[in-house]
Amino acid sequence: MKKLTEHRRLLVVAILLVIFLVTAISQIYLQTPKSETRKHVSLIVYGEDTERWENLRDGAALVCEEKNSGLSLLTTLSEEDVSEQIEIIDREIENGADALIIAPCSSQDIRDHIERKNPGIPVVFVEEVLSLDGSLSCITPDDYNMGHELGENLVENESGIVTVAVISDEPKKDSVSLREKGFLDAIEGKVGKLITWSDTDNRMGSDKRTFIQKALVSEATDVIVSFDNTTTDALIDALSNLNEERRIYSVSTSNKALYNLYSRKIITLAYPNEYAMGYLAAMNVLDRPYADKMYRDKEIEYRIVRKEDMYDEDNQTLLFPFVN
Amino acid sequence: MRFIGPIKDEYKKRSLQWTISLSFTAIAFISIASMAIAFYTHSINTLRTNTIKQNEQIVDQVSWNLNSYLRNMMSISDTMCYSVIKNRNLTNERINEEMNLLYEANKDNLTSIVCATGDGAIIAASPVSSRKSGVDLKKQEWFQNAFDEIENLHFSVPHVQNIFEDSNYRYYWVVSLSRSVELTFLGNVRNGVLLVDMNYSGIEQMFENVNDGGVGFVYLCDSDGKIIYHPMQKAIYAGLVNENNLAHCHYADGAYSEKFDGQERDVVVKTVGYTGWKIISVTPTSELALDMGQMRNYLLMVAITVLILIVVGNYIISYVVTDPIRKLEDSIAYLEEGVTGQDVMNEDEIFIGGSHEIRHLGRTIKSMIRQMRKLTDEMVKEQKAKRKSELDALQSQINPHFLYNTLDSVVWMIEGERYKDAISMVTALAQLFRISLSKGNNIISIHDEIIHAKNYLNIQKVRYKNKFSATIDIDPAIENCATIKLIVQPLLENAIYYGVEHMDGEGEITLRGYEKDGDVYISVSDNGMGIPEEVRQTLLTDKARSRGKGSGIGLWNVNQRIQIYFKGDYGLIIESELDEGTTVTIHLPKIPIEEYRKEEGKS
Repeated sequence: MKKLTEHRRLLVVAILLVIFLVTAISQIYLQTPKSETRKHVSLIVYGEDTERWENLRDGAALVCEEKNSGLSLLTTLSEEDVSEQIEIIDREIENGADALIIAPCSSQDIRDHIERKNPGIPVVFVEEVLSLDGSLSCITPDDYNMGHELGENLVENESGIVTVAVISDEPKKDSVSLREKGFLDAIEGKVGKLITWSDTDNRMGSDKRTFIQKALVSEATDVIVSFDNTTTDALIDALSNLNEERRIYSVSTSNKALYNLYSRKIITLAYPNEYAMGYLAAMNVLDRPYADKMYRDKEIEYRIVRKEDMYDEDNQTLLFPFVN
Repeated sequence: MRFIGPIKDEYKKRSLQWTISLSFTAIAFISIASMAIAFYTHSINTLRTNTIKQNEQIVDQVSWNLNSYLRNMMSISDTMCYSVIKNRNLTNERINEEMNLLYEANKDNLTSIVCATGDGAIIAASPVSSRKSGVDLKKQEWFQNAFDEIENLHFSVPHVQNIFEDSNYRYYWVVSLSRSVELTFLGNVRNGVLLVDMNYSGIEQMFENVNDGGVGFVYLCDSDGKIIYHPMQKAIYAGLVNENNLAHCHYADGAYSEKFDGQERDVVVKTVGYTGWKIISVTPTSELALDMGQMRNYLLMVAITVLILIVVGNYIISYVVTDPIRKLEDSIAYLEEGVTGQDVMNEDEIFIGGSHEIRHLGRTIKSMIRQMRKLTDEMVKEQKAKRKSELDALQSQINPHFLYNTLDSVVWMIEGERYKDAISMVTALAQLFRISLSKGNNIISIHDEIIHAKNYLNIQKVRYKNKFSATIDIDPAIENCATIKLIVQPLLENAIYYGVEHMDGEGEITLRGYEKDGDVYISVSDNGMGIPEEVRQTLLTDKARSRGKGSGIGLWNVNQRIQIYFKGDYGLIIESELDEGTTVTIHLPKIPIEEYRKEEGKS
């Protein structure tokens, strides 16, 4: 009798186990596709020109698609409004973003805010931010070297007596500061005269073009150097407005800069690969182990391009994105 | 190998049920695992084969679309070449109108049509646009290719068109179709170049549609491995992603398996006619495995479920099969324990049940045990009877020396004219013999046994000239109880010979009979010198059998007889103190003599 009871118990346990397994099978079978979690990455940049960030977004979008994640590009109305960018960052964190990729409008302010906020999600900067703690990283080209190479190119192409004006209008952006430093180190003592056009007090408001026009009128110069897209575009517009011509050396990725490179208004253009920056930044926030394994020593490429070689096979793939 | 031995030993030690369960479970596990692996492998292979077939179909479709597209472009080029430019005097005739018509008809796929002289001067172009200053067409690859092999059409890889101005900073990715054409100026024929710039987005769109969804991807490269389209083209250009295009461009049409960047991939290659371009479909096996993940989980769960059912089933079946054997074994083991413990074998406890074979085995064992028991019982009975008769015979013997002494005493009494004493002694002797015979009964009443003891005492008193006195105190309640005959006399004999014979003073012998705790006790006490303890302890053993004085029957014999007739804790109890005396007590069950005889009559 005892044996019989034991058998019945065993049978009941076996039946329950089978029911449990069958339920588990159906759950797995039916719910696997639904249970996949979709992450969301917020790409927060400055300025309202979304086309300016197209390469960066394309690179990040490829990784997000691969990793079944969503990507949204968030811009600010003003290029220099730190509070607006901080507001967007906070909002995205509150809305449950799984990762942030940030092009900071002010490197140190945004860095301080992120460190203070400690959002608990992966954060990567796509422009140089100095003095980062260990939990944050930035994916950028070697800005100092880029500026330095641009300076070397200027020294190589210009005579030793030229007057060079450097537009130093973005002190809040560490990337721009580094480029400028690299450039100045390269040309030190090798040009006739060096002028710095700086509107750090922002006397002209946010209208860079007017500031540059005023500078152009007030000071004679042969060569003008700019280190970011906005300043380069403003410089081109200012010269066009004044119907003036100067030789421009610039760091920029804007279409206007490319066109003016072709029309020889820009002599030399330093062009960072923002597509690679977007790709690696997204890979870092979505799959850090894979990024560390595959791209630990990968450096973000930049090219020093002149009109003569802008249509070279290698350069055109970088300078001209496929979709335009 | 050294682990196999202990496993084998352990396996041998296990029960039959465990062995059957384990063996069947192991076989089931191996079978299910093999089937699951075979099924999974087969499914993967089938999926791979189907995917390759599907990819081949896709590649064929893309190839057909691309061929149509390229043929369309080539027909535009042919039309321009043979119907518009050839034999046309370009000095005074213009070709812009026809060129515009062709462009307008195909402008979805075209960026521009250009006809240039061998010096790089543009004769006609559609759509009309300003030529970029400083652009030297002769340095451009499409131009040089046209003159390298003037009889062929040349397709370039995608590049940014660098001929015309665009005030909106727009640029155009194109694939250039260039050829050498004969230009006629005032009857003079000069070589020029006809360029049809195909909109790259047309090709891009074609491939994007194919790559939208599904596993793997399709890309396009030229015969040198230069990528024309790839879904991760920009990442490849940036050095972030690698592609095996330089190897693929040398593959002949067909399906291949390869390992690239540590990844197993199925590759299908198809060459596009005339251009030598290769359409390549790549499917990483890991992506197929992802699709198979669900099936793998499903298979795993089904296999585990079936295995659990089989394990439980095996356990139950093995139990049903082995339970009768185990019960049979248990009953035999119980029997063995019973035999060891001197219990009687009971064949009815042998289990008979289960299958026909087990029932037959049980019945055979039962029959065997019955036979064995019968034989054993007979042997025991024979041995017991033999022993009893031996003891009884021994007990029944009257020591000849005792008889001689008694008769000598009688002779001496008659010679001394003590006729009364002689008569009394002969009467006592006669009674002694009568009770000794007791009609052949070994069991007599205590009353008769006491009479026998009294007669014996009377004779011995005469012989020993009243050297001792005897006191007899028997509880009347036990007189009718059964006892073995002639068990008191040996005790009295021992009391006389070893107790009082050699005493200086008068000896005292006390015979008592009483009931205690439902049993009967008959004790013989003397006040002799007593028995040393070491001797006392050996008196009831076989070694103590004495053939000295008296009847020659030791206490051992008396004890043995009591134990043969009355089982249990019955027999003799010997108590002695040196210089104080000895008491030997007979312990018997209290059974009335009539009752004993009735039971004896039954058996």
